[in-house]
Amino acid sequence: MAADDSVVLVVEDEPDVAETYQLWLETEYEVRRAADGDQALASLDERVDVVLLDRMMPGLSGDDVLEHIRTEELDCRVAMVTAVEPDFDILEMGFDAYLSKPVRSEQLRETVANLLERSAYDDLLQQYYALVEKRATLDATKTRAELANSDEYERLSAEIERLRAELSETIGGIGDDEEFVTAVRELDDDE
Amino acid sequence: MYDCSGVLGVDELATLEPGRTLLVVGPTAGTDELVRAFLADGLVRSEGAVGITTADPAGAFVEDLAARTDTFEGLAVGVLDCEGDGDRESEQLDSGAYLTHVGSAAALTDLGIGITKTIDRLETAGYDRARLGLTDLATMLAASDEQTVFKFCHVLASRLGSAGLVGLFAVDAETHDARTIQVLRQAVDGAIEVREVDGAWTARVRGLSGEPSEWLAL
Repeated sequence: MAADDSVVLVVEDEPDVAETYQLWLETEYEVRRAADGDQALASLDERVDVVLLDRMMPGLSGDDVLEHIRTEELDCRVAMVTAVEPDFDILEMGFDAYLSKPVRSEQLRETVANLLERSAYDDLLQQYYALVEKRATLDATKTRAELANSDEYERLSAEIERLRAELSETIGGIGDDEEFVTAVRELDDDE
Repeated sequence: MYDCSGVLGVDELATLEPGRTLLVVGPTAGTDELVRAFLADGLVRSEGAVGITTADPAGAFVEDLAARTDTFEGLAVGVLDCEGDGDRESEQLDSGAYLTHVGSAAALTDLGIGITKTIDRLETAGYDRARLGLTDLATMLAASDEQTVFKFCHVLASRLGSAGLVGLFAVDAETHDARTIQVLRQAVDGAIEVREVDGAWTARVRGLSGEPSEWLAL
């Protein structure tokens, strides 16, 4: 039984490897499996949060699947799984993270958790903007006296402060280059 | 701490904590001047400078920074502009300064990757202390929307926070209403307000300590 309703799609042509990833992840997440690129496209929908993508597959390649995800603006994070250290910039390629084979259990779980956390950051940022925007509108339309007596305004301000702290502390903000580029790419996708 | 008092002689800027980002609000001529002075002030103190210019070419921006410093160290400078032809392109000048051109102020992923590479490059050159100046958010607001620009500011400020850099983001107060400015202020740590008094630029800092600082000449 999954502890989280997040969905991880494992795209891997070697059944044993895919089976192993599923065993490691399925106690926490809902796991879908695709044995090649075409199956991956068929399994992708708006419920998928993280894709673990083997780059070298017969047929439709990992790069093709990634391109589909980016052009269709699917809201999911993509980790490339590769047998060799990439000699190119994974951020430029459009990946959010990479894992080199053989992948260890702990490493796989950490990467998935980290990518989900980045989605949580974006959701919080969205909520934060909505509240800041609401307060600014109140500021522009009400008098100081009206605002001083408004319980709604007080609650709004308290909520803004709470989210502000949560964005910087709980989620840990934007810690490195990969997190930064993922967050910015998310903005491009939202437009 | 960063000593940015060369820009404006107020306590808040003399001891600016690493990771702080401020919005610079006022007429473009004044905010642009302040951002450039802020970067040049860092160069004089052997800090790196990352410039993001949405209106001017990066090369002209670098020349302006060089003109503001007695001994110019190009390796300390990286500037991004929005004068590219679609793909992100980089070039290194003879001075060592590193330029990156992105297609437009709305090409945020390209801008983000460019900023990342520029900061990494400065670190490799030994500049782990650096300032970032962006001029002007008005162009970005015109190219996308308030919500996207707000989020971009928060994400970039957050990255500067974890990297221990300090940043200024200029926004033209004449083309945007007070509501938008107030929204953007919540994406960063505080603000510097710029205004013209008798033909000279004055400024004050708000939001870093309890009370606004006094107005001082730039």
